[in-house]
Amino acid sequence: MRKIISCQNLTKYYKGEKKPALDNLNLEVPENCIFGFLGPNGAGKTTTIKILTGLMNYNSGDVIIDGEIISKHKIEFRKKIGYLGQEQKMFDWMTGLELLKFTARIFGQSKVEAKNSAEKYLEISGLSAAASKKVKTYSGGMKQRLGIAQALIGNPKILFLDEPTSALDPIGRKEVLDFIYSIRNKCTVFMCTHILADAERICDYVSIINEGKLIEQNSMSNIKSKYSSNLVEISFLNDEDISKFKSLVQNSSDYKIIENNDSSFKIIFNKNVTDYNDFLNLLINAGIKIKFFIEKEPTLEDVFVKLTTK
Amino acid sequence: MDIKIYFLLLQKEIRELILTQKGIAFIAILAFFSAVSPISAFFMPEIMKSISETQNLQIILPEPTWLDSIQQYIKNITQICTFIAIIIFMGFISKEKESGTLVFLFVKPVKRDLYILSKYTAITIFVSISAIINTVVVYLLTYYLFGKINFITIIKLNFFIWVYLMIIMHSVVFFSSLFKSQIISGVSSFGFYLLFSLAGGFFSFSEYLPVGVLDQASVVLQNGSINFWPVLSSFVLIISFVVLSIFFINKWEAK
Repeated sequence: MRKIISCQNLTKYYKGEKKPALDNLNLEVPENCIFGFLGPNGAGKTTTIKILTGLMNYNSGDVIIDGEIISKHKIEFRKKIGYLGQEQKMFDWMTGLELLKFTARIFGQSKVEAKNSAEKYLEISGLSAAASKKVKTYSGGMKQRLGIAQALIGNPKILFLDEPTSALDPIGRKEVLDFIYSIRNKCTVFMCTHILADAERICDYVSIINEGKLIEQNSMSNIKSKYSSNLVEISFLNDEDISKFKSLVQNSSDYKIIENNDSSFKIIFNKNVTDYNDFLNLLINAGIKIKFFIEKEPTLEDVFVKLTTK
Repeated sequence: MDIKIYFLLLQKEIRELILTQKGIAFIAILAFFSAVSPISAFFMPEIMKSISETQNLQIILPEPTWLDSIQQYIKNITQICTFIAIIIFMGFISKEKESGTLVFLFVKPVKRDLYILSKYTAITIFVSISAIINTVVVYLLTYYLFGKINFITIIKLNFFIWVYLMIIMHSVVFFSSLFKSQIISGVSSFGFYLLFSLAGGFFSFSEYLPVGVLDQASVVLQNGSINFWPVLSSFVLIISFVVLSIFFINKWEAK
C-alpha cells in the first residue's frame, strides 16, 4: 500500500529544552486509512501533527507528504491537507454556512461552488438545521463536526485531527467518531488521540509514541495478535464438569489458570502453544461439556499500557 | 488567485470589525469626540463661569473662537481617542494567535503576506472612514457654533491627523503581529505612542521625521508654509511596519 506520510529520523527540540520533543521519529502512514497516532500526554503527538501540517519547524530529519518535502510556505502542499486542531477555534462570529463558504473560497472555489460545497458538508456533518446560526452558539460536538467539515471542504488527501474527541461529552464523542468513520476511504485520516477506546473503534492502523520516540506501529489487527498473551476464557455447564476440569489441568506445564469466576476460568497458555486442539481434545475426551471457549484478544489499552509503562 | 484571496481576507476583516463592533466602536468614539470638541469649546466659558460662581471666584475666559474648537479637536483625537483606539485594536493579530484562528487560516492555502496586507488594509479603511466622518462633523459643528470657517483648512488639517492616526494604528497592528499576548502588544503600542508624542523635542531634525506630522496641523491653522517631509517619512515608517510584520509572521510557528 502506498505511503502517503513518511517521516525519517524526525527530531524536534524546543528552545531552551535539552531533551528532544521528538527523537528520531520514523513514521509511515498508508494511504486511505484511519491512522491513530497514540501516546500519553506530552509524548509528542501535537508536535508531530504541527510539523506534518507545516505549522512548526523541525530540527532534523525528512518529512515527505504525498511525495513532497513539506514546507510551511508551499501553498500547493496546504491544498492537500485538512486540519482540525485540539479545541480548534474558528471565526465564531460567522454562521456555520458562512464559515464553510469562506473556507471553500480560500480553496479557490467560485461563489456558487462554495455555497454548494458548504451546504453539502453541512448536510454530511448533520448541521444543516444550524447552518444560519452563529458558530459561537454551537455545542462542543457541533463545533467539532463543523471543524471536520471545514477541514474536508477542500477535498484534502490527508485529514489531520488532533484530539478530536477529548473535550466532548459521550454523545458528542459518538457523533464525531461516527462522522470520522463515515469519511474513511475518502481520504487518509491521521488522528492524534490519547483516548484508546476511540482509536480501537475506528482506526485501521496505529502508531504509539512515548517521550518523542516511536515504540510501535502496525495495523490494529497485527498489533493485537502481536501482543496477544494466549489468554482464553472457558466456561462450563455444571459443577461436575468444573471439578473434572480442575483435576485435569492441575499439573500442566502448557497452561495455567489465572482467574476463576464461578463457572468460568481465564487460562493463559505458554507462548509455544500455537493452537488449542490438544487442550480441547483433552476436555472432550474426558466428557466435559463446554458452555463457551473464547480466545481473549488484548485491548488496545492493554498493549498501550504494556508499551508505555516502564 | 492571490488577488482573490487578498480581497476575500480583506472582506473577512471588514466584516469581522463590523460584526464584532470593534470597527464601529472606533469610528463612533472618534466621531463622538469630534462632535464634543466644538461643543465643549463653545460652552467652556459658561461652564467655567458657573463653576466659579459656586466657588465665589471670578474666572474670565476670552470669547471662544473656531481655533479653540479645532485645537480641542486635535487634542481629543491625538490623546484620549488614540488611547482608546490602541485598546480596541491591540489584539488585532495577537488575539488570533492566542485563540488559534490564525492556525485555522495558516494551514489553508493562504499566503501569510496576504493575511498581513489584508489586516493593514482593513485598518487603513477604518482610519480613513473615521477621518472623513471626523472632518465633516468637526466642520459642521464648528461652522454652526462659531460661524464661517474655511473647509479647505479643515481638510488639510485632517489630512495630517489622518497621517498621525495611520502611524499609531499601523504601529498597533505591527506590535500585534509581533507578540502573542494582547497585553504585551497593547503595552508596546502604548510605549510607542508615548515615545512618538515626546520624541519631537529630542531631535533637531524632527521637522523631517514622522513625529513632526502634527506640527504641520498647527502650521495649517496658522496659514503657514506646509512641510511635507514628515508625511513622506511617515509613509516610510508605515511601509516599514508592514514589511516587518510580513517578516515576523512568516517566521511565526504555532506552539
